[in-house]
Parts: sequence; C-alpha cells; structure tokens
Amino acid sequence: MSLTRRHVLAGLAGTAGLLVARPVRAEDKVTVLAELDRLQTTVGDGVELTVQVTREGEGRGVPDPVMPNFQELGLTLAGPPASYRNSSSSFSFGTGQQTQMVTKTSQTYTYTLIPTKPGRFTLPIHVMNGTSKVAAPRTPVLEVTGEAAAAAEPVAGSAAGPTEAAGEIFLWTRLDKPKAYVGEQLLYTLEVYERLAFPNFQLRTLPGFQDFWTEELPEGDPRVETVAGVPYRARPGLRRALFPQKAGTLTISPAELTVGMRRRVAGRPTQVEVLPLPSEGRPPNFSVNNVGNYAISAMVDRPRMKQGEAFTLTVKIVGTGNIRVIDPGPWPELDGLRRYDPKIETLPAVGMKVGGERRYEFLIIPEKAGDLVIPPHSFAFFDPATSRYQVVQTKPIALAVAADANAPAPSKQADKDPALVAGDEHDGLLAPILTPETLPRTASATAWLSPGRFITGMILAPVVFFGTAVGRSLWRRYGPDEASRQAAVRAAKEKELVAQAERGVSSGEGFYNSLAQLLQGAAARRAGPEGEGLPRRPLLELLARRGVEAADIEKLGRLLDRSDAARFGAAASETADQRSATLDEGLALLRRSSLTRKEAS
Amino acid sequence: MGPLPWRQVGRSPARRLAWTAGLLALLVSTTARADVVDDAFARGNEAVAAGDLQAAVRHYEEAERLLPGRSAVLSFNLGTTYAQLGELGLATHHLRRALQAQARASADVSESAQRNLGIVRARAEVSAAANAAQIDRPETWRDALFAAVGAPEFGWLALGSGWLALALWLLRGRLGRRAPVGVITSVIGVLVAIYLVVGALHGYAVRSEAEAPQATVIAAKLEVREGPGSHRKVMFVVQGGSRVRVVDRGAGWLRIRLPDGLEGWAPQSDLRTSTEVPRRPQGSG
Repeated sequence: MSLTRRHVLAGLAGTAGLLVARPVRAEDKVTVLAELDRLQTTVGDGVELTVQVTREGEGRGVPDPVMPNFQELGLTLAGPPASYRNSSSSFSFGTGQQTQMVTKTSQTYTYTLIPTKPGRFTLPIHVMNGTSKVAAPRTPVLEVTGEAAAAAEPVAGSAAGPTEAAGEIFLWTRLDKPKAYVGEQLLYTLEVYERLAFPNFQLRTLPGFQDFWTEELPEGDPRVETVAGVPYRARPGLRRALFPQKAGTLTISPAELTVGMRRRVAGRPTQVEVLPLPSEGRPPNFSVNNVGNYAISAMVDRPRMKQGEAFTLTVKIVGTGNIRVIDPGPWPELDGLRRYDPKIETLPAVGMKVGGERRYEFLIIPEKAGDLVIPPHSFAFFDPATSRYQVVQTKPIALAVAADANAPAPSKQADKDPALVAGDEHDGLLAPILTPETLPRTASATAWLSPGRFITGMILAPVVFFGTAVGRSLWRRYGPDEASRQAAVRAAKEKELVAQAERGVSSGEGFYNSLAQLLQGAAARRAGPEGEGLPRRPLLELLARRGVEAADIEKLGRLLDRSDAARFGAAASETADQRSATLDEGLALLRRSSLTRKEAS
Repeated sequence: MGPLPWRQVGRSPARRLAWTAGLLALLVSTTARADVVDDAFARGNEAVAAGDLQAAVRHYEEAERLLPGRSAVLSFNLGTTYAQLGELGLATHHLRRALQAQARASADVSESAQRNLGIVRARAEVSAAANAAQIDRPETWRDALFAAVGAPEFGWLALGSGWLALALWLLRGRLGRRAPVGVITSVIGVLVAIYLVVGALHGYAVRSEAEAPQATVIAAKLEVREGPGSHRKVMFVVQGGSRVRVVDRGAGWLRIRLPDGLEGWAPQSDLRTSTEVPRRPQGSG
C-alpha cells in the first residue's frame, strides 16, 4: 500500500486532534494544606506557618498559594519564605482503559510571622486551580498574647553607655555630644549588646540620617562591658560621622535588628540639638561648609624659573571637618602671573573623625620677568570647639623670574583653558609664514638605498673580503703544480728581463744582455731538451725542424748576433730609438711569432 | 607580433613627430601641475594675510597634495598656521616635516621652523600639565643623532667606506710601489672604522624606524585604550604633538608606545607618520 497525500493529511489531522483533545480532559487535582508550628505565642515572638500546595495529574506546574494580608493582621514577615519542591510519578492501569502516567508535585513554603499586637488571627489560605478556588481544609488560627510594642520615645544623644540591662540583646546608640552647630561633626555609634552569642543577626533597618551629611567611619572592636552588674558583649554595629545640615532638634530614627528568623530588636530614636552658626564675627563671603578646625599652607615646586616657564603652586588645607565640601574662597589676584583652574584632590584621613587634606594645584606661568610675589590666601572657618570664626592665611611666596625673549607675551585671558590660550593668534610669537612667489621644492625621488639593499651591501663587503682571503690562502696551499710554478718563475724572470731591457733602452746599459737572455731562453724552450748546450747554428736548425718559420729563425739569429756584437762594443754608437726598435722587434718575436706560438699550444 | 614601439620611433618621420609631441605634452603637463601648486600656495598666503586661517590651511593642504615632492616652506607655513589655530598636534607634525632632511630646508626656514616648533612644544607642555595628559620627553642629543644617521647619506658613507677599504686591501700590492704601505694600512683602518660605526648606527636607526615607525599625535588629546576599540577602557591620555612609536597595527587602530614605555591602542586617524600627507578628499579630482 502506498502512502498518498490523502493518507498523510488524515494522519496529521488525527495527531492535531489528539493534541487539541488533551486539555479538554479533566483538570488535575490540586490541594493545599496550611498549619502553624504553634497556635499560641506572644507579641514579638515569631511562629512558622507552613503551606504545602500539591498537584496530582499529568501537569507539572503548581499554583502559588494566596495568602492573607499579614500586615493588616498585625503580623510581620521576617524575610522571604523558605521554599522547596518535591515531585513523583506513577502509572495507573485499568481494564479497558488507557495506561496513564500520574505525576504528583508538591511545593512547600515556610513563612516566619512575628506578631506585633495581641489578638486571635485567622489565616485563610487558598490556591486557584484554573478558575476554581481550592481552600485549605483547615484554616490556621493564631492566638497572640502580651502587649503591643509602644512607640519608642526619642532620647537625647549621649556618649554614655547603657545603665540598665535590657534582656538578652538590645541596641544602644551613642552620640559624642547632645548639641552641635550646623556643619559640626558628630560621632554616631550603634552597638549591639548581647549576653549570648547571636551569630545570625543583621541590621534590618538602618538609622535614619535624613537631616545629616554622613561619612562612614571604621567600626571598632567588640568588647565586654558590664551593665548593671550583668556582663554583655558590646559589638559594633556601625559608626558614622554626621554633619547636621539644618538647625533645630533633629531626630535620628532607630535601627532595627533581626535575630535569627523570628526575632526583631529595635533601638530608640535619638535627638540632637543643632544650633545655627552665630552671625557675630562672621567673615564676609563665609561659606557654611567651612566648619571644623583647619590649617592652610602654600608652596611652589620651585622659586626660580624663566619667563613663560610653567610651575605649580599647591595650596593645602588640612584639618578635621567635612573636608570634601569646604570652600577655599576667592583666590587672590596674581600680578604678572597667569593662573589656570586648579586640580583639586581630597586625601581623607581615616580615624575616629573625618578630616584630611584638601589640595589645590595651580599651573602658573610667569608672564613677566623680575621678582614676583604670590600673595597670601585667606581661609575662614568656624571652629565649633571655641564657637568662634577663625581666619588662617598662607605665607606670601617670592618668585625670581628670569627674562626670556622667547617667552609668551602677557595675556589678559587668565584662568582660560591652555589649549585656547595656545590658539591665540595675536600673541605675535611665532615666526611669520614665508611668502616666496614660487614654492621651493625638492623632487620626490625614491631612495635607491632601501634597507634591504643597505644590509646586503654591508654584509657583502666583509663576505668578499673573507672570500678573497680564504681563496688566496687556498691557492697558496693547493694551487699551482711544479710545472706551473716553474712557468710562473720563468714568466716572472722574463718579466724582469723585459723590465731591465726597457730600463736600458735610454742608456744602453745591460740592454742587449737582457735581450739576449730573453731570446736565448725562448729558443731553448722551443727546442726542448735536445737543444740544451747546442751552439747557435745547430740550435737554429733544430728550431726549423721544430716548425718555427724561416723568417722568425732568421730574425732570431739576427737579433742574437746583434746582441753578441753589442756586448763587444759594436753597438756603442746606437741611439735609444734604435734600441727601442730592436726591443719592439724582439718582443714581437717573443709574443707574436711561431717561435712561441707552438710552445703555447 | 610587430617590432617594439620604440624601435619604430626612428623609422617613420610621422611617428617620430608624434612621439616628440607626446613628450612635449608630458613636459607641459608637469609645468601646469607646478603652477597649480604655486597657485594653491599663493591662495594660502593670501588667506593668512586676510586672517582666514582655516581657508589658509585648506589651500596649503591642497598644495601639499598636489606637490609630487617635498617643500620645507610649505610644511613650515602649514605648521605655523596650525599653531596659530591652536592645533598643536598638526602644527608639530608639519613643522617637523619642514625640518626633515628630505625637505632640504634652507637655513632661514630651518631657523624659523625650530623657533616655532619650540613655541608649540612649550604650549603642548603647558596643556599637558593642565590636563594631566602624558607627553613625550623633549628631544635629546641621542634622538637627534639617530634621526640624523638614519638619513640615506650616512648609509652611503658606510657602504662607500667599506667597499673602498676592501678595494684598497685588494690593490695594496700594486699601490705599494706608489705609496708607503703604512699609509695605505692607516687609510684602510679609518675606512673600516667608519664602515663599522656609521654602518651600525645607520642600520640601527633604519631598523628601528622600520619596526616601530615614529608618528605624531595630531589630535588635541589622544585617549589611549587597553585594546583596539572605543569600548575598551581608557588607560591614559596623550597630549597632541607628542612623538610615539607604532609597535602594532589593528583594523583602524594602532598600538603605540611612548618614549617612557607606556603602551596602548589609539585610533589610526589621530596619528600621523612623518611621511604621511593629508588624503585627497573624495571627489576633488
């Protein structure tokens, strides 16, 4: 049977029908259970509420439980609930029915509830299964006894410690002073007093510092302290430097601590009386940020420089107080010096109080030569310790500025961005542009000496040197054989005889002797061993037999005869020209005749 | 395949005439190009006189694009105009070009360029101090020495000395009759010393330039990043006009090194090597 398009379409439609039919089946079974670990408790003592939602069927998702509004009931949730999931599957078999896989999934939530008021509280809990509501079969009911926690009364800030023991654990707040001026530094410390070691406590709510500028300070170390005869361990919670931002009675809301999952411990609000800064003795243009105790100093990186040479002026304000926000006030006018905006850096000091160093670095350029002075800078602040305003000053700084013809001209645009100052086209310092009628130029020639060629040339020279030296050495050792050496010696001797003959051309001295030796030697070499010791005539006849042409033999005989005659004075009247012609004839016989040609071959 | 064209030149009078006309046309076109350069240069000078520095820069850069060779005067004017505009990076770049050996600056141009370069450098130092930017250290005698020995003339000097010493050594036997052996040996020694010292310095300078060519920061402030990409963290800022070495290249980014060893990546468009000239704008012909 072959599959047709009709069969395929029918199969697809059937599959789709099955898929669509599945949700139409009966919904899965969903149940919810809720129970408390205790049915009775007291105010502030937490209970655990466990809620378990179970779904049984083919689906795997578990709906979330719907909880009552705990806050309205006077119950506070201590953190998010703990939750875990459990799932199992089984198969159901039935006669005439389809085999079915059933999955049971449970999701369990555990809430920690802390009652804040007494009463009897019913906790209705349910889940939604589709559109139907499924309630817990048994609604938990909690009975809370005791009294509701009264709102804590604020206390005046004090540096004193607790005088009464307050249970196993309590919070204690210290302020180093109950009164302060606006902007004055206060030291706030929150400590946890505990009789037992509570490892799992954490600050749930931080104190409220909304009217203060705060800076964190390092926390102290735990210590043991006796409160009304009861030993406690005092653990540091947090430490802050507070700077009141307005006058009046300011309240710091209390911190709250969570101990474990069930218990909460709250502190008490703290009040501080903040006084406005006095108007009496207030310097003009005083900044309210300058409250504390400060000193000021100024220094330059060098007191001697050239005109136009930049140097650095550093002004430091050091002390305790809110150093980050202090206002140094207007900087004094500088005569003959161009000053740019400072680079500001704060170096906070870490300790029991906030303080440190505020540094202002100015880039300054002397615009004129001579003895210049950086005038003192005044800094006014309010000292809360003495309740008085104070003014501190830097010392004047003397500068010796040497003249420089190339220095930039004085600019009226102080405190301007240097890049813009550099762009000032009216400074008249730059050499003017050149305006020839035609532009002088050089040809664009690609350099022949490329790096590669240079390196090759540099390497090749020593290579040739060493190659030649090695070649010469090898030649001397392995070069010519005995015959070659003899030939070379003979050639050298001939060369010497020719040179002697040339020298003798003008004077005649030794001329014919050298010429005769040259010719005789050539004839003897041409005749071979048989010619050794032969008189001239037999030698010439032997040469003829050796193939020397008759004309050459005749010329040789004639030159030898003339040499013999000259040696006995017959040529005394010869001129240099005649001897030169004789030499040319002899050399021609030696180099370009049958006398030596065959020998060479 | 017929004979080669240049073989045909001398055979036909008509062709000879055509070739001559072509050569003349080439010569005429070169002259015209030179005129165009002079015109652009003159327009730049006029713009400076009129106080329009931006227009002057445009005309000078046009002249530089058209100029087939180098001109110290043009580079000087361009650098000075950029200095007047406050663009310290480009001013430094062009003034340094004016002082390069290839530009063959006259004594007057060289003196003026040195003066203006010194002023631009002083301004750059002030700007770097005010903006907490890195700047290269001032040029030392060592930098000047290596810049000088990197010129081709020193390469030729080293090569010539070496090969001349070799030739004298090979011919010393024949020359011995005409000059004392001691004199020849001394001359060879001097030539070998020049060959070794100048050759080593020139080779080092050429190799340094080839491996890590020098470039000038033309941006006012160059942000140097830890990797090639605008999203990478800025490590430090370099003042415009600083000399840097290009040690590596990426797509549109260069890894640069300051003389004190600081390294990082910067956009290629913010740097210019000494041989680079402004690119011809699209569509300008």
